[in-house]
Amino acid sequence: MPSPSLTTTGLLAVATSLLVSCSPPDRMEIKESRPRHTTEKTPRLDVPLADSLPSPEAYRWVLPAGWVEKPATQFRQANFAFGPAGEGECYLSLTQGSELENINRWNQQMAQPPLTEQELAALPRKEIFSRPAAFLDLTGVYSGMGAAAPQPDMRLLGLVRAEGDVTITVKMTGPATLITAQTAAFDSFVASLRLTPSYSQ
Amino acid sequence: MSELPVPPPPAAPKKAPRPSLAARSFAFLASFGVGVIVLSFLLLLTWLGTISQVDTSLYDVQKKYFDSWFLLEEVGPLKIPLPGAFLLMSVLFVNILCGGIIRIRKNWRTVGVVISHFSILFLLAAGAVSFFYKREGNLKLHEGQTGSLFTSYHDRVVEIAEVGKDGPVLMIHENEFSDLTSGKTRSFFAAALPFEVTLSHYAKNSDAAAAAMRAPAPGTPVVDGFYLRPLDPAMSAEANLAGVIATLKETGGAEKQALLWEVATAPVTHRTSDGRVFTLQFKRQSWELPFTVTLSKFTHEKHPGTMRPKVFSSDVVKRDGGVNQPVKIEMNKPLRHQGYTLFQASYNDKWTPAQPRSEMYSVFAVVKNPSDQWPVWATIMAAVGMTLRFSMKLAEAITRSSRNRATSAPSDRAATAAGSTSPAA
Repeated sequence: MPSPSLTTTGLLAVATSLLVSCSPPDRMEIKESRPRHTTEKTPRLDVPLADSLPSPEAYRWVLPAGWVEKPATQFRQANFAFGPAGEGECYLSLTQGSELENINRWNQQMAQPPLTEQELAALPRKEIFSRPAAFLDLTGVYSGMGAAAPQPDMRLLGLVRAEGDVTITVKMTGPATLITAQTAAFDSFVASLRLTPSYSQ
Repeated sequence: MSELPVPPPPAAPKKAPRPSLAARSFAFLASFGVGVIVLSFLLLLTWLGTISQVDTSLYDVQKKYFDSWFLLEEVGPLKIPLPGAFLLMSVLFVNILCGGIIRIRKNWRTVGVVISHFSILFLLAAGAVSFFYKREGNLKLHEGQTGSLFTSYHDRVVEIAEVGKDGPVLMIHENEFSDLTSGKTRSFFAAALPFEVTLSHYAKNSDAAAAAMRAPAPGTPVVDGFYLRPLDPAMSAEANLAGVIATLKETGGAEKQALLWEVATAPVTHRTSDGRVFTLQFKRQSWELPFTVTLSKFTHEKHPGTMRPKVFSSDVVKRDGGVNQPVKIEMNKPLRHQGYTLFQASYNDKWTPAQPRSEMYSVFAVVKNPSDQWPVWATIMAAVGMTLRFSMKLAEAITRSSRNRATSAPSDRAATAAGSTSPAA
């Protein structure tokens, strides 16, 4: 006669096999419900899906044709490449520093003299997240962050907007001919940027 | 010649009657063998659960190994069925009850053991009560805000409510459709609903992505320009953002597809052919406190020059039955009221373009657990039982030792005396 231990083991194994193979039916009655909370608010009805869906990045955009999304990084919240060999890049960044400091960092990268506050105020403006932002358009020799050597015939398009503690920037760089061909894509990308409803966990 | 009387053959030894089925079942359930097997499986589950935490969240590990009746453990290509800790602890409860409480000899010598066994039963019962009746969630409040709804960290439901009616809100629990990946579907119906809800494309962690922003994979349903983009499960289970696709269909009517994502800020509206209006929302399950809490002030200090929080506390006003009571909730000083405990859990001071710094808020962990204090009582009981048991054993040992000394003393003396009279070697 098998020992109680063997019997137990056998019973457990059989019962386990039978029970784990069970799956819920394809059609089920909803049996659970709850009373309405006393503080339950009247729901907002017929809200378009796009207006009700937050994004983990807190913003959403329309990807221009030919652009490829690259992984976000600590300093690039939205990061894209374009061009035959991906030599053009564009990214959205939430950074620190004033508008002037960011503009002049870009000027330095393009071997241009720094701007004054008056010259900054005179820069053209484009809207980003429905807020006016300073727009910079430079062509020349580019010494980007981490670049091995200065690159000639480059072009930089940049938008800067200081917002509270954070400065929002969109920067596009690449060979001048490529950037010229992508200027409309830059504008459409910036115009498509939308803040989404906030959420937190 | 008379024959000698032949002695009768010796009677065969009387066979003991076979114990009844009930007695055998009791003996089996009370046996050490069952106890050893159960404890061995619990040891195995603890080991597997610990190993699994390398790449799975603590919550998921807990659900799989410890909050389950059964589970399938994948070992290479094999799927091995195993009993879950819930089943094992149920068997252990019965085993200790039968063997350690009912069958054990009961006298003054075993009273400590019985108390210790009872404390283990009490601890197991506390776990079961907590498993079935514990509610745990969080309540987020901005300064000046009053709230009473707390939201589960993990439990999600699809809620279906009729607008303009006071009837109950129907709920489909996530565990009823969390297997609906890879094209599987399941329909849900209710007498109160004029349509059926078919759920599919469940994603445990997902992003509701705009199709214009990131192209969906082939075969992915796109609803109003958005689709559910599955993401890898987060290591912290509460960080997962689940989503599911719902298809609503009235009998003989048209179908409507809806994307349900748990952080959507508004429900999906569905209007039926007879003019009734329903809302559907996938969300964390929420419960209502029987009192309200208003956050008066949130205090937040960091260690100088670092981002490490030094002090964070919330001054709140608890309002119950028209009575206001100011309370300060700090890290280890929760608010306890009506069986609920509110702990200072977290706060937010992150900045995003969509969430200005002025929206800093305080987060309270809210717990209602009827067996909250039972483990404390069980531990005290175990301590009393073990103290009794060990005290008795110590007393026995001391008594036995002194008795041995008393009985051996005369012979020792005799031996000593004999030794002293014998001639020296």
